[in-house]
Amino acid sequence: MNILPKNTMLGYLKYYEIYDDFEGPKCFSVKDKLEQVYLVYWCGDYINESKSTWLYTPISHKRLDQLRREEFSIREVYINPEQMIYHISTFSNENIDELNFVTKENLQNYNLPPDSFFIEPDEIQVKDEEADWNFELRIAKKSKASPDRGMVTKIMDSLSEIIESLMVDGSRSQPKLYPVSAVPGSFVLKLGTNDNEKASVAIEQLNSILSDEEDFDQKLKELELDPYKLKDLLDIVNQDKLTLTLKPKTKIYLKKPIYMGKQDLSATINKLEESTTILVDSSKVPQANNLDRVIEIVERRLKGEVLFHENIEGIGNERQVTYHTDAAYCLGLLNKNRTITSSGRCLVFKETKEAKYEYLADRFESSEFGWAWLKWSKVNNMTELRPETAHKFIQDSVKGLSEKTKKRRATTLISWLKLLQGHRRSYTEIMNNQEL
Amino acid sequence: MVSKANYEWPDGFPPGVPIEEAIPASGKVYRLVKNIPPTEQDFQMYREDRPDIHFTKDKIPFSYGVSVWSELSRIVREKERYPSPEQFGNKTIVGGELTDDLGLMYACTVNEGHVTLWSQEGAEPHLQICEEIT
Repeated sequence: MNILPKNTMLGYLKYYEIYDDFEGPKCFSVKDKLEQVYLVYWCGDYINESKSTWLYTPISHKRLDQLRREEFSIREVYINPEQMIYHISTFSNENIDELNFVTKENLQNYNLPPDSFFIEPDEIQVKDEEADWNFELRIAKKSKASPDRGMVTKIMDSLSEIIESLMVDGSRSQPKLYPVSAVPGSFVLKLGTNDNEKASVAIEQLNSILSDEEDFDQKLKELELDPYKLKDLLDIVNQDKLTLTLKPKTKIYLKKPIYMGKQDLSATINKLEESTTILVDSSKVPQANNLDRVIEIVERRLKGEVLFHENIEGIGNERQVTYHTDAAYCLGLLNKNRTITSSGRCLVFKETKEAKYEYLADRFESSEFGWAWLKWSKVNNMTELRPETAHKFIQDSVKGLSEKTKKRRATTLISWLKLLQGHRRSYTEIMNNQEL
Repeated sequence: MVSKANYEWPDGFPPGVPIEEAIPASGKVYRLVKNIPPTEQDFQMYREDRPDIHFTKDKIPFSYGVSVWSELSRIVREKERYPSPEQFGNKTIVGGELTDDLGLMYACTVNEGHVTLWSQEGAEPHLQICEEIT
């Protein structure tokens, strides 16, 4: 006999999550072929009849989420079921599994879970891939219309960048927050992470920044969070009139949900824009001194070439290929997955080297590292930047790098700046303050 | 201390049982039993206790062991969660010290407090884990 019945009207069932594993699963959830989830409680064994008995009841994801967050007991699910309750007997002899309907009137005749039985979050064993998530992000329009796909992807990108940035702690593993599944409605995304504890701490840190506007700058500096990243997220929420609710799957690490967009965020956004904190993510700072080789890599990608170091002169290994593609990413010429961007295409179609450098001088100034360096130096364009400040700028504003790597990246900034400074095109700039 | 190589396992143990990570038994453990004082039957290996269960490949080595618990609170809680006679209501909690001559053990990393004990040939855990708790 298997613990799960095989021959009932519920059809083929598989484990979803196990909540109590005491000499075999005693309380758990299962999923049928139609994706319906059932909560299951062991009612006892009848040795003489070679049978075990169980109470099954269908449960919605919303209710199961609440159950995991200990908002009510397991007993409550059976006392107030969403649909039917089934009493199922499984046998260790040849008998066929039995299913009986339980009515409200005769419910008390069965062995029900006691009031004190709540799910213990740290004992949950995830069995189904779909159940392997850590947080729930609800994106809702204030007007009750559905959020469009652009809003959803922007929020997901922006929020993940912030949380991942706050999760960085010097260990070797790269922090990740990723979507696992989505449920229609307002728009509910199930998010997974490779480190639930760190992600929960990061979310709490984000909440503490948002709830203490007075000390914004200090907090951003302490937590080394780029104010522009946070501003981007709040901007999307504000512009598109959204509300965000981020809830944990269980309360092990994060006790309460966090909310964004319930109040008007304009004042917060302005404060972030004025923030004096300058921080750039290390992935946005290049490490490839030879800019001509970066151009060559982009040209090769335009032709659809798969990059192998053996084919590229002056590059000795795959790691160096990655440094160059990452450098192209920092200038917005390639995407992270090495596909070419429209800016990259535009670069390749510039006919002369001079034109390419002029174009790249623009890209330099508008890149995250270039703009941050200008802001840090309190100057308006790259001709005013001083190469010898590169190392100090990186020390002050780039997080998550070793001293050796900081020096290495500084040499890249210096060589790019020296090469491109003379190629910056002059713009018509307003000289008269009165006209501002 | 008994060396791992010196244990004698029942004839029915297949290769790979007990698992490589198992260590000589030690520490205080608890178990739910039907009989007071406990009998050999109360400490049967899991696969004899539940011949009806089909074990997956990774669970087979554990099916040759007997489940004991290192935390009393966990086992007390289980009695509360399943209080009827058909559940754990008629069972009694007993406790006692494991010693290395009983066999090898493995503390589960997923299911906290759960310990699998593989009893060596001739071992009588029911005579050691027999102190009635409730």
